[in-house]
Amino acid sequence: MSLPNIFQLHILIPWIISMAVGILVGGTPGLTATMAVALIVPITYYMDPLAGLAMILGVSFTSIFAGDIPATFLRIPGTPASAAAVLDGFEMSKKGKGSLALTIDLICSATGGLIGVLLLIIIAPPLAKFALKFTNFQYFWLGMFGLSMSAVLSSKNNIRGLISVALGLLVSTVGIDITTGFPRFTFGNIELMGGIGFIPVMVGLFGISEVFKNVKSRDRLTQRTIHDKINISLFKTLAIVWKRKWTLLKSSFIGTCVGALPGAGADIAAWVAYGIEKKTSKNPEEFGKGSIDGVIAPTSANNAALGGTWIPALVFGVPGDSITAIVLGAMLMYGLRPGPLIFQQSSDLVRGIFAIALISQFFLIPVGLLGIKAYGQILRLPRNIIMVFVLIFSVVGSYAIRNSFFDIYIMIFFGIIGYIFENLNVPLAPMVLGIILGPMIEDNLRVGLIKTGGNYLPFLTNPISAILVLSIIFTFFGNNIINLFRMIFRKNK
Amino acid sequence: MDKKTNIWFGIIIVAIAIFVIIVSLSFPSFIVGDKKFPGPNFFPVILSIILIIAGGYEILIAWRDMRAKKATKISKEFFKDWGNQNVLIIIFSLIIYVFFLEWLGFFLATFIFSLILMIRLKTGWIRGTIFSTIAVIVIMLLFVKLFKVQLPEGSLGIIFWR
Repeated sequence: MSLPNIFQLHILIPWIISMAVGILVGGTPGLTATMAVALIVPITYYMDPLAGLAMILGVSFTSIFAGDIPATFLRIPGTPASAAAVLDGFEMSKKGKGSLALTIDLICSATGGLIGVLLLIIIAPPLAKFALKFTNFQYFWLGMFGLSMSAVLSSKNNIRGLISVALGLLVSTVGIDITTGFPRFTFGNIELMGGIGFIPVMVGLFGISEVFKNVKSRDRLTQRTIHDKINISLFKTLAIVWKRKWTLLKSSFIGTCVGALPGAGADIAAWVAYGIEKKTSKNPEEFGKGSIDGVIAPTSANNAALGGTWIPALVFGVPGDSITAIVLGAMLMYGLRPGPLIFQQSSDLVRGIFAIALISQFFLIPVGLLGIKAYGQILRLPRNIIMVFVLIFSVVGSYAIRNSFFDIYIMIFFGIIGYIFENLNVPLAPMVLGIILGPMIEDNLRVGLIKTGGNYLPFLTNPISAILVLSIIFTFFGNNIINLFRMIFRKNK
Repeated sequence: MDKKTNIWFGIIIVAIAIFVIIVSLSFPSFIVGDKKFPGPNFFPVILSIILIIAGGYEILIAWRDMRAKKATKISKEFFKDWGNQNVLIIIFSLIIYVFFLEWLGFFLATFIFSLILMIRLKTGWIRGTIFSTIAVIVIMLLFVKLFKVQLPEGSLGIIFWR
């Protein structure tokens, strides 16, 4: 199949429709990008494989972006991949720059996605081979590296950041222990056997706690939720992003690399990119207060990670995250066998996938702009109406994941925790990071120890592990190391 | 933030950690052959130790500051404040809402919950009724019709969307 074939109507129409569905699903708190893909896949059963894959690709890219819309306007991440986008996007929104934040976000999502796909095309095989070299030891250190970002995220009070991350890790231990099959902290409750769902926790911590804050002031309640006019100037925003092109490129590259590692998806990629950007920024104090770099880093990384997740999926048939796990199932259903041979046996289709993924980034801009406009109009309603809507959507979103009332109670509980913690100046982001990375760190540490017969040394004696350990040390002591070098060089001069 | 509150925060963190350790001690060991490997309690215990140290530090710092400066008492006016009342009302109404979802079903329970809260938050009866109806219809269309999510029908079996 040659490239122009993707512009046939039977591919183009479902492709665009799926992108609009992606905006709707991703923008609805509680509905994840994975759910969006899962909803689309059954529709594609009877379609031409390329049309089906166009729908899947389109919905996944737009839903990851759309998750940032409620994250920016309401502080409720639409999808887990948008949790890091809350930090600065919402702060910009509070200053009346919500639409600017989202337009930057949109351009960065599209560019990040573009870079992710280009890297997928160029370096798919070597990067996938490198990713397969990761064993439990390296995954443990990768998780620890992600966790070290919590130190960056809790800039003011490191002890409270530590408490937050430790509590998050503790929450991740609830449920059946994967290594031994023993139920931990379930207290006989069947609902807790599967662990505490990430979505209800996230919606509670960020969304419900924000509702509590909003209902405290009588004056604020009757005001509009967003004050700024949805004034979108693409050229002005492009100029802003162009000034920060290195942040965009760096975060997109980080996002693709993290996405290429099986098990580490767009959510982890966004946090890692945000943490690295803050750490290496000349103005780290601006992060968390509405920094544009703080918007660019996570939003470009999460969309770039989607391209990255396709690398192991296509080359080795190993899913990079839950989305590509569903995609692999769909590809098998179409009669395709993902793996090294797919590049020879179905080269036309692979080229088609690459082309669709690239063009989806260009389609994302008009579809995304419409999404921002639509949400912006809805959010011009007064807060007392929007806050009740947020509560109802949060309840339904938390329930919809597992059809569980228990998950709603979890959401309420974490909403209260989030509210109390914010009043105590305990940062919430490290807790979310702990919940995301907990299983990765614990399982790989324990399985690694079983493999080595309880010997800790192999965790350190691999070059990849060494690089990751050095990165962790640099995260904590980077500034001190740089200052030390500066001092030495000045003395020499 | 009130120093007394900070002490309580530290105490609660330490108490949680001690509770986790006590529960974790009942977890079985993980022995393969004659070798003992880190079991299910390995990770929670390490985390609890970290929490005890961090919580203890919080208590110490707050206690030191409290000695230097007289702690302020938590205001008795807390429960009389309209905003704080709203927070408490939302928490309780959410719990009651979820409880009623199971037997009133999504449509009725959500409409009532939404209307009560909107009136409390000064939206007014008419606007409250209109927007509560809109909220229910939008969720019905989006979740039930489009995304095929099964929302609770309730024991009363009032189903409006079939």
